[in-house]
Amino acid sequence: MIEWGLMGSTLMEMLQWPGIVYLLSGSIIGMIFGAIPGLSGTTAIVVLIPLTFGMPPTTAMLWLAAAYGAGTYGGAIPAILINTPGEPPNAATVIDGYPMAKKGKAGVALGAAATASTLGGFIGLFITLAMIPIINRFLMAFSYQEFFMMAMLGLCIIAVVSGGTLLKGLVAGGLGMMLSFVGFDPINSVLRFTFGIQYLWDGIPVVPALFGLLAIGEAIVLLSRGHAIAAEHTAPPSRRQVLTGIRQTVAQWFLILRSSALGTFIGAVPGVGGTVAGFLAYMQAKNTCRNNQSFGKGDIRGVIASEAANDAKEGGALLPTLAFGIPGSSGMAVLLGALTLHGLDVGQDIFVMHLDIVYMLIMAGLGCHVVAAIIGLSLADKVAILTRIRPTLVGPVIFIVCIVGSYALHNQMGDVFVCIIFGLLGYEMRKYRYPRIALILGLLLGNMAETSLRQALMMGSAWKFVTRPISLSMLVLIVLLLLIPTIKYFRKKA
Amino acid sequence: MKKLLSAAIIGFFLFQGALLWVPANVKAADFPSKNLEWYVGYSPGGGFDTYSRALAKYMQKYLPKGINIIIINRPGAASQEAATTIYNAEPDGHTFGIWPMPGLYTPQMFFSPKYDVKKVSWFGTVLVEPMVVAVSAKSPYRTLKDLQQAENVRVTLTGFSGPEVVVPITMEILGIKAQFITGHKGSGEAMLAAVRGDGDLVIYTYGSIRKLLKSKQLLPVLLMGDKTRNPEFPDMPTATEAGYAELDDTVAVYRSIGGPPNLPSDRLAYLRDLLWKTMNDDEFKAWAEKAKRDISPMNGEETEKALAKVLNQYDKYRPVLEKYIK
Repeated sequence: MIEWGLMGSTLMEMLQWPGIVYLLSGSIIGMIFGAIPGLSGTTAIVVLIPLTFGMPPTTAMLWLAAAYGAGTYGGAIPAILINTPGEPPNAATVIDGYPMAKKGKAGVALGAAATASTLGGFIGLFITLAMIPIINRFLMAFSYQEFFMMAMLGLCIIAVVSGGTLLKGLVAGGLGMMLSFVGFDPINSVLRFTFGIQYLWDGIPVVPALFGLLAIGEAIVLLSRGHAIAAEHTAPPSRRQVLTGIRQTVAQWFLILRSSALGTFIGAVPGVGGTVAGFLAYMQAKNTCRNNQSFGKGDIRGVIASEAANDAKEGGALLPTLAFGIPGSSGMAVLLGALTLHGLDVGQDIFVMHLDIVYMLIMAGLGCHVVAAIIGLSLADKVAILTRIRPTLVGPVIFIVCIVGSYALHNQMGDVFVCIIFGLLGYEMRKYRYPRIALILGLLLGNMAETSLRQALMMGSAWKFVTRPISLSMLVLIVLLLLIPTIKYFRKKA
Repeated sequence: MKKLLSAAIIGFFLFQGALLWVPANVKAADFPSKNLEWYVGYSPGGGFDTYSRALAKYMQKYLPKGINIIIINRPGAASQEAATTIYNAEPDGHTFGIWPMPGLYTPQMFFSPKYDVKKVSWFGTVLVEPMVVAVSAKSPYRTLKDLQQAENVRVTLTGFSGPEVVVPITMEILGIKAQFITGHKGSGEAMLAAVRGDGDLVIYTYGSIRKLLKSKQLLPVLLMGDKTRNPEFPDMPTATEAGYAELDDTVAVYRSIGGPPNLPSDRLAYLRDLLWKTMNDDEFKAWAEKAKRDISPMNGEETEKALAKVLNQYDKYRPVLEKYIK
């Protein structure tokens, strides 16, 4: 099934002049794009595509895939340092990454994120290689019922894991879902809750809302509290911290393996979105690890699970993109555009006619993770200094980055207002201990939940939710998730 | 110093005077006096964006030095925001863009957007894409007749905005009793749903449906908007052959380029000519060949006529659309 000879020559092409230059430059560009909130690996490809016009397709794909792959790691840096995921899929990293930074362990968290990303990316691509023959059957197994359950599962998980009480988590998630109903109704294209404002037709955009809720909210807290992100009397970030992060991550190899497998499978289902991958992996980490009381308060295993799954999912997302031309993520949609631009036809053809391109995409995915890890690890202790700078310096910078980032998304002033309004909301939510990430996830998944529920019902019997095995098992999981904390609570009382 | 100043002033007026002597026809060629802004209603990377960027790139060599074409992506409300921006721009020929037609017409039939596609100044069309009726390999249907006799054919699509608004009209003309399952994110997901067997039928542009036809996961039934059979699928009948010639005048996706209404006629002529030259440029054609992007250039006058015909059909089927939109 796998042509090792061709794979070897693809690897050589990547490591030789000029391939290596493209690998390095692509990875560095991707990392920078990923680390700046508002930009992402996807934006990096968009910017680079016009420059690849004259290149041979393999080189072009090497460059683009390297930039994209490195971007997913870059997104973890602001998630850990300033509580703002560079892209929504890094959101689960925030839960434990930022508390680690607060405890003065930003170096450890960054080390762990880089290592977990790299290993996750590797495992994801290997699973992808193994899945090529069965992708068809895999895709057929997920229908509207499963999409709905997946969205519900994502929401319940976040309500349970995001700290605070279950009830407050559900309230925040529900509010997020309600906000997701603004704009065109996905089934009948009727306008809802737009109050005559054309800007709201497409709904409330997730990314500016995310910047506002997490970063602006946090910046207000920083400024009002008056001391740096890392608590006082904590050790300054050092190379040793980063090494500790690597060591502790490698020691959790089984957790990485599980999280990566989960990430790859979810990534391979088009339409689910990578954000669920990070949260599902986080949930399974919290439920399967021993001594799980420290999750949410700065547990390194939270960062590891989320980051491993996040990078593994891109391997999975590659499959439906190449096999059917149906992108598994937004980045893959752009990559698909680049493939067609270079005259490469996705579908069964590419596995027969252009296997070298498939291997190059995979090799570049592997290569960029190595480059990103080396750069990331060697700079981790330097960027972690950010957590020790006075808030009067950091706060305004966070404001500017978020507002400029929001505007840069679509050059729309409306996005800036969304960012600011959600910033105030985020501050209040934090004050009253409502989990902000639950709101984000509601906003993100509300649409998917609504659409797939209504589609499933249009198809006829609602019984299918419980007669389809994957759907049923997810339903059982949801019920357990919600019941267990409740039972525990009453037991304690009794 | 004073001398220099007075010399400069005299020089300036002399220069202005000299300008008065420039013949009028040279002045008309002054037209692109600043950068041209080309709006795209979708994010970078999509089909409309790719065509726009390629056209802009090769158009550059027909423009005076120092004049650039700036591609501006203004995604939102299925290209309606870009349409509104173009339509209400200063009609001096410096602002225009690519229009997905007739997708932008339906909002106008039922809502009141701040544009009117019937008044747009059309420069030309880069591609008229035919559309294909295809059935899922998992469905019990194989031919048009099967579909017409069926009680309930499930059609998967994203919604009734954009090019898919033509789906209910097609079902009406063909006399197929359809149940529409909307809400899919993008044509890819809608087609995948049909491949899974959650839907029986899809209607999409030939370009986007081709891969799944080749892998035989979707099976071709009817080609619309192209009067000759497709060489890759010679067994697929055209609408005219099947006795539905009307469909050929109704169903197709136009990627047309146009600017605000009431453009000065010399500027409109200039821009039409500019686009026509670019679309027939050898380098542009070579790009299209390499990028596997179909092109079927159509000039401004033809675009105007063809679109008028299509929009007429839409007006005729207004009662059908009314059921699904609003």
